[in-house]
Amino acid sequence: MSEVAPVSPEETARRAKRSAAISLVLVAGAGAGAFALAGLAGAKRDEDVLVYRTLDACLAERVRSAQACTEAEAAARAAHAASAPRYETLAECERHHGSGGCVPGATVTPDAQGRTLPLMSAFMMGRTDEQNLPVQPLYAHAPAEERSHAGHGGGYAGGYCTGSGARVVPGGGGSGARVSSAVARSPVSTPRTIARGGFGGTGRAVAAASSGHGTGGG
Amino acid sequence: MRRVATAERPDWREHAARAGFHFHSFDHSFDGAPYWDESAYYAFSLAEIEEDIEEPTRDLHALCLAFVARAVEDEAILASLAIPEHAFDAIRASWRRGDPALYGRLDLSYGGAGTGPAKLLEYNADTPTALYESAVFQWLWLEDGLARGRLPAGSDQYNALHERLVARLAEIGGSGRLTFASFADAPEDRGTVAYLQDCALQAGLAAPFLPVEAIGLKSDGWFVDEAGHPIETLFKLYPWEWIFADPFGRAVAAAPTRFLEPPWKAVLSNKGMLAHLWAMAPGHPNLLPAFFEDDPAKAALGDSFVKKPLYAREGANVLVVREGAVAARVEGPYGAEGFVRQGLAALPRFDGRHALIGSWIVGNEPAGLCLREGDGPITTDRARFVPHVIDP
Repeated sequence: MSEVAPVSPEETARRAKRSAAISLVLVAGAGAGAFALAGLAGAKRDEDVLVYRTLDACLAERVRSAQACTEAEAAARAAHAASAPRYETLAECERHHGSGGCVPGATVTPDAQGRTLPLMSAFMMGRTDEQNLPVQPLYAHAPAEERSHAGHGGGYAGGYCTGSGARVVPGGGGSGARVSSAVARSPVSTPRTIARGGFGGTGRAVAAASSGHGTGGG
Repeated sequence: MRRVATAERPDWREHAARAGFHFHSFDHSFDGAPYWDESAYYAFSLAEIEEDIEEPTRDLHALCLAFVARAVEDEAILASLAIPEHAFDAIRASWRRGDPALYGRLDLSYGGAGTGPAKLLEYNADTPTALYESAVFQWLWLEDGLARGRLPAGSDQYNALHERLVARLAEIGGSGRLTFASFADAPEDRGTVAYLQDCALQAGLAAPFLPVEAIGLKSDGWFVDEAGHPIETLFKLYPWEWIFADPFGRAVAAAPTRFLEPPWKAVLSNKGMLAHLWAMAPGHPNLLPAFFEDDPAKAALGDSFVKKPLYAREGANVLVVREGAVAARVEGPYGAEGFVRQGLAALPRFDGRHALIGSWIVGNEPAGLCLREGDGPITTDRARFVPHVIDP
């Protein structure tokens, strides 16, 4: 520590033990708006969605009308063929989606010839029509070899991911799930060159299982 | 070290608003009670700060780095920390490249001169929060207290955090752009990140923010921002164990993107590390004996100990056993990966409150402290932040 000529003993101690000055260019005062820190607690963060493994499950639960279920399942199948992630090899696909979770692309759609696609495991739709959410196909997440490491949130292994890689975790074995609005509103339209949503799912699952006022912090 | 009860400033909430401190109270779904608590402060002597906190912090951090160097060359150690195998390469590579670190916080049990050395409880090496209130609002509280004569003239504070953060960011700023990510809707996390963005700007860097879920992965291996531009360096307030459990976690090792904190911090930000430190430096004055729960050697701790999950936050799933009886327990979602058992160093009590010292590291140097007070022996997310001074 380089010594400056002391102005007073007090001044010397200050230089040693605390910041001499603090200026905030953004956080304080007028700049706080730049981060919109205030009012975040009320920000709309999640959408209530429904996740069904089969059309029958959707029909049986009767949360949505029979017509809505039927249309959603068909839309998900169509989206699956058009936008399911394409993997170069079976091994690469199974690393993400589990052993037995993938099929040759040509069995799904001719334009996936030579690639491997995950099986569509479920479909996700809004809880209500008013949410205006697109239907999305879902794929099995939590590959077999990861199950031993799973549980970073208490048994959400066996959840799903969207075509863009975002994690979707139905709660308590039911059909209901909460996903961030960004995930719910942005289905993949073309097989990905840029995947999105592949970070954050684990944290959301843990946050849902605890009651902290921060999520990532400690 | 003593606790000084005092009247809070009637206008402290206005000060907080002016300073951009918006998460100073607990969620109203609890009770809206203040998290920032200035109805008391702690006073230390300079010797307590320098000899009992600062020096041990420097020493413990050096020991931790020595442990990382050992761990990255030994897969058995990495596996013992419940780090998934697919993450080993990313961790190893980041250490061997010398990827720099920004900050961390050691949590210490220390009750003042004459009560024995500070003991390391854990190292929040990856995603420590309470940074802004430590670096800025605590500092402003001191300045205001001196200006109004509420504090003894000449009172100082162990808190060079702000200066050190700006200097460190300038030092490791690389390309001149540092992208920041966290959950956008968690006020405390967003506040911490906003403050660090501010520091980065003052260090001369561009400092854009994006929500963690908006990070993209391009087929060429780069992580990209919302516009699809490669992210050269990403500060993420999102722990490595979550990243490695997320779908994109497997892409980290091959990605040219660099991270703050770097992947090697995963070795330190879990409590399995405590058992390894004790094995490396048994009897170290600032360490508590610690063993993995499945290690028969844990019997050495007898019937008073603390059982902690390898991965947990805010005191969740911690169990305190005193003389064979459960003294305290906090529920939570953690523990699936295993537990460690640590010797009991009960937090000191002042006026009936339990005090926990957080000792900050910036780069590789100790930089300041924060103090949190709780009603029980386990510090949870309901603990209050109480400021401190160094006696004139």
